[in-house]
Amino acid sequence: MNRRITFGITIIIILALVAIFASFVATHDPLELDLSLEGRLQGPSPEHFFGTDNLGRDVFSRMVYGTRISLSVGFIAVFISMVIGLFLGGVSGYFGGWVDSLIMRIVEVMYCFPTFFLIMMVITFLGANIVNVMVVIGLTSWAGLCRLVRAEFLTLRERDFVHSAKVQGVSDMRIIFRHILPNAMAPVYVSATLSVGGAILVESALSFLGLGVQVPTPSWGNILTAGKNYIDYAWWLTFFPGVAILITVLSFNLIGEGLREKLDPKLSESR
Amino acid sequence: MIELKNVKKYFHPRRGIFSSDGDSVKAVDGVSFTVPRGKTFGLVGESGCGKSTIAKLIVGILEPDSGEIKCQGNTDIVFQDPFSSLNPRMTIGDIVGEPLFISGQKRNEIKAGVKRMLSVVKLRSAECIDKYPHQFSGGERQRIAIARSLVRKPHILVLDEPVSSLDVSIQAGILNLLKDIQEEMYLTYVFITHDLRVAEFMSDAMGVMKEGTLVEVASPREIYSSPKDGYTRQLLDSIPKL
Amino acid sequence: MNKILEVKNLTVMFGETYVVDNVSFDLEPGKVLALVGESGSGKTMTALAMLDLLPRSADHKKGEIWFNEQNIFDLDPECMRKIRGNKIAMMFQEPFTALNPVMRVGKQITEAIDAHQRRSHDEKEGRLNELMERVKLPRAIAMSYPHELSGGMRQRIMLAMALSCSPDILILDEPTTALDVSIQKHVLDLIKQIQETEQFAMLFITHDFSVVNMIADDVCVMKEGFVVEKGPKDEVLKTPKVQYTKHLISCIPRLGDKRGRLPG
Repeated sequence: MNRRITFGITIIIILALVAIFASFVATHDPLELDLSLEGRLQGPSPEHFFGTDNLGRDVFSRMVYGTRISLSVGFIAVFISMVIGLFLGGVSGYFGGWVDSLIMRIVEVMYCFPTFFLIMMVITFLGANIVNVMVVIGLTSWAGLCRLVRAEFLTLRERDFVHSAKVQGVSDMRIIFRHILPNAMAPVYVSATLSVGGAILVESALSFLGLGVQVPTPSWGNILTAGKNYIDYAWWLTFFPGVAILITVLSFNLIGEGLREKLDPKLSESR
Repeated sequence: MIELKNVKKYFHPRRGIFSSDGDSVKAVDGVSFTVPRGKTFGLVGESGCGKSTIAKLIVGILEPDSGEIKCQGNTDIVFQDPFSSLNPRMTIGDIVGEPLFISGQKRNEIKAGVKRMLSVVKLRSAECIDKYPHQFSGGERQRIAIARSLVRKPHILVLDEPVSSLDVSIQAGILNLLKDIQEEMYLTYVFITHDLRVAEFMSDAMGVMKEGTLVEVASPREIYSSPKDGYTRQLLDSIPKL
Repeated sequence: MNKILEVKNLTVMFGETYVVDNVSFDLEPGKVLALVGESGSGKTMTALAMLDLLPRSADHKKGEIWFNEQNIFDLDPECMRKIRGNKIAMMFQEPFTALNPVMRVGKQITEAIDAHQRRSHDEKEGRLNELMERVKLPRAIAMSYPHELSGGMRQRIMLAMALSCSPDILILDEPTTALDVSIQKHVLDLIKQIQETEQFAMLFITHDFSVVNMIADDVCVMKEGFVVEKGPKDEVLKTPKVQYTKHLISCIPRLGDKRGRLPG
């Protein structure tokens, strides 16, 4: 196994375990306040690994619960965008003609909007909560994948094994799902893995701007927000969530890059 | 049998913003021939002469612009490049068995059919049924492609340069195999090649194609002993002597 | 007999597998040696060894390759680079992948000159004109990109590239296998004609004895890494000693063939 993939997957598995067993990993109740003067803004200590925030809540525990948010936003948003991208890209590349033109025009329109502002606008209308964040990120990030899948389909549909299947009366749906799609998946996996990192970043940014997960529910993004006012004398409030976001996004990117390396030569070999 | 009557197929390059070239390419320009049941028609020509377009027209991958194509019975096709004609992510069993699967046959019937076809092309089914195409050599892959094309029991088989990418001794094996299969299953072949020697070896009748039209149709014997068309003579001259 | 290149007991291994096994042959100036064998016979690996271009996975190589009184395996990489493309040139099989798709073919031809010789722009232009004339292509073709050319034209461009530094030895790896029979003849005639006028030594790799007959002086037949038969072309073609050679010759269909089946 590729070293980058191994490293990335190890980190992601650890994070996933932390997210699933958050209640066991957390040392405190993430919502428990301690408004006493000595309880607020404590530095890292054996009692509070990552210190406490301005309301005296344990930052470590809040981040543990925040892992749930970040990972589920990443995975679910990308899942939504993959389903849409694969379907539209596949239809577009396989059938061509006016269907293709129509879908490609929609993709171009999607590209014309600055995605982040689009997301912000939609969230403002629909209301800021985690489900909306996932769905909206998913609905706005499929355009690149759609183009990628379309390009793969365009080349694969001219391969002789597809011609052969057509001659033998194989249905369009079966050709798409059995013959073309499995051969088009390698770049899709790579792109999807890379977008998980991207989605996590968008969620953090939204939460940072107060448009994502609403307080008091902890997310890496809103812990950062809370910390930004105290950055001069409580570095731990911004440092730990920042590092967590960095490591997570980096891990997904490493997996993506590793997959790219691993899957590409195999593709050319099997040609 | 197969009958082609004045078949035409033009390709119209899409007029793009940057290209002014709107001329259509006459890939097939009025081609007629008949192949009786159980016989082989050899179609010879250089690359770009339209012979592969004819193959695609006969099996229905392309529709003719005008003219008529009559085929009695099922048609199937074997392509030149056995590296692109087999789905790299399907096992040999799935590849050969697919036509049976989509016609709704049961698992054990499919398996029996696949085994029978692999034995027809002289591959040991037990050894290859669960393997993937990249684990085979070019010659073996071509045998697999032939097995797949035979599994629906077609009456007509179009062979589009089936041996052109193979080494000479592998080529000989495949040519012999195709002759055996034809005899056994009483198949009608359209054999497409750029190599006159191969066409002559395989065919009962031959057509020489140039720029979308047939310049000469005759028996192989007539073609090599008394070629009528200048282009045929030119092709004959280019064959390396042994 | 003067030899320009001498391969002595060449052995190449990939892990535990012998790809080339104790192969020896000589090249003489002005002569064409055909290295005949099917895929997997080790003929391409032999050629790559002569340029010291074996893939990294070839972990063992033994034997000697003598060129200009030097053993190629003892040379440092910089010396080898100076020989490659300059003294020993190679032309590959695939005319579609061996050319850079975004570079004008004329530029690709003169690239080898830039790598090995200091020449002025005018000298290079002159040489390019000469080379285009030699491979019988109009000068204007040099301004084209590879995708604008037919397979036969690309093969001529690759020949011009290989000839650009007037090599002492030209290695051709299945140069006409991807071409139609009719175009193959034109390219082979051209290669033969240039070889006869320039009198370089040539190693011609093929699996097809009908091509051997057109171009070679001597033949070396390989199977599974071994040399099974070696000799002058006429001798090998008319009276092959080894069963395998006989088989390779007889399995080619010929015109007026009365055989209903081919051996094999």
